[in-house]
Amino acid sequence: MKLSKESGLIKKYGVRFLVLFFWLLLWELLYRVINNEVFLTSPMSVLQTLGELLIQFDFWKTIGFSFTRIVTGFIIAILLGTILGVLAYNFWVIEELISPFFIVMKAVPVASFVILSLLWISTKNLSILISFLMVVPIIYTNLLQGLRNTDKKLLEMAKVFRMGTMGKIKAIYIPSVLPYFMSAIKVGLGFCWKAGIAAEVIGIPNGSIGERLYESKLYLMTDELFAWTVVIVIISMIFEKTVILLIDSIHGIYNGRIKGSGDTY
Amino acid sequence: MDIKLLHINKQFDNKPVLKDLSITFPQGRISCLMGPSGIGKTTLINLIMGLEKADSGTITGLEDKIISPVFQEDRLIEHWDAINNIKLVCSKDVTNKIIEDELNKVGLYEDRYKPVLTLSGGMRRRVALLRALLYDGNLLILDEPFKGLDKELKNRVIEYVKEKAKGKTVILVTHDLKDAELLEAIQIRMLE
Repeated sequence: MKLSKESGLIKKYGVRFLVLFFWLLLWELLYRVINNEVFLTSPMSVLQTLGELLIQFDFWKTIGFSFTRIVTGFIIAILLGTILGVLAYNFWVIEELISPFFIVMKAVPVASFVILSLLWISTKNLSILISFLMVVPIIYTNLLQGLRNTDKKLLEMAKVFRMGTMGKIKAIYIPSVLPYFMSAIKVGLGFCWKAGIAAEVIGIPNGSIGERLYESKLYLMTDELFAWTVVIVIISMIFEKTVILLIDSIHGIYNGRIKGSGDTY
Repeated sequence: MDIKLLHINKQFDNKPVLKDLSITFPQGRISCLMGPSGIGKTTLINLIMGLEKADSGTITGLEDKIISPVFQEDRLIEHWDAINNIKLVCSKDVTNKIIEDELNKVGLYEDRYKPVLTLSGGMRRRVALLRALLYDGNLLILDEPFKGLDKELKNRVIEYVKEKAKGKTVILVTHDLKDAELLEAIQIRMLE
């Protein structure tokens, strides 16, 4: 049994390695066919550029600049999206009031938002606003849906037993909302990175990843453009995995506390 | 105070379920509500619990009542164990030790830490019943509380309910005449 599990893992990672190798090989072949560093750089050049970037202090400073701003926007979106979702669930007037705002936000392209935002705020904080604007409707909509799908029969039970608000939140609302909330976070994570970097490319704030991408394009440094793209993908993946791990462990701790101990509530 | 329902009418989607119904449930006694399926027994207890509103008629005698319900469905928190499900609704005076002792009396001690979603139908029913009994209301509303219990266990649980319900007003919905007899209950039949 153990052997078959191990061989399954080897097979799984072996296949992944082969797939990666296939695409890198295809990339290298295309590079050789095109034979123009400006249009398409080679995987080796990208790797080399990446290696050079990694040892520069400025590289880490740039990542820190964009990361803190995009994550700040993301966190504000989670907080505000949650508050608005709860308010809209409890007061229909609030839902009516804010729903046009979210409809507009969903329909307007990111680029329009970025250009409009440039009129209102400094480019330095542009990615905070854009990452926030992209994530907040997702959190709000999912949370509201989770609250609306709360088991009505359990709410009736809580009413007859005269349960307190905290008890209802812990026992009924959180388990109902958590899957929706987690799915919103997962979707939002991808959105905030893509939109945040896109905003930086348009607004070109000093010392941001967006600025480095723009400069790479401007000076036709295709290898650096590719290297920065790889960096964005890697940071986005690490951030996503970390947040998901964090949420999963919170979820696990929450369920574990209630499931097995008998003396925790 | 007796619970009195006078000239109650209730309909759903223009289909009358309760028509000019008048019933009295005496204070401190067990009343068994019996009748065929669809006659409106659950609707009636939902009116008493305040989960539905009558189209017309009055209900009196609920002012001093704290309701302990067992619903037709178990309505438990699925991922929580039996102890936490019971503690959720009870006062702080109901300690883990008390709950464990009571779970033991209804044959659930060994399963006290298992999430209720992993328990059988009969076990879940006993958790729901114990939750209502330990909540310590003075009006027990039990909608088919012995559903899913085998004969031997059912008799044991009925004895347990009888003991716990002493002095309380109980409204019990059942299809089984024997339940009413074992509980020495007043039998109220709802007819078409």
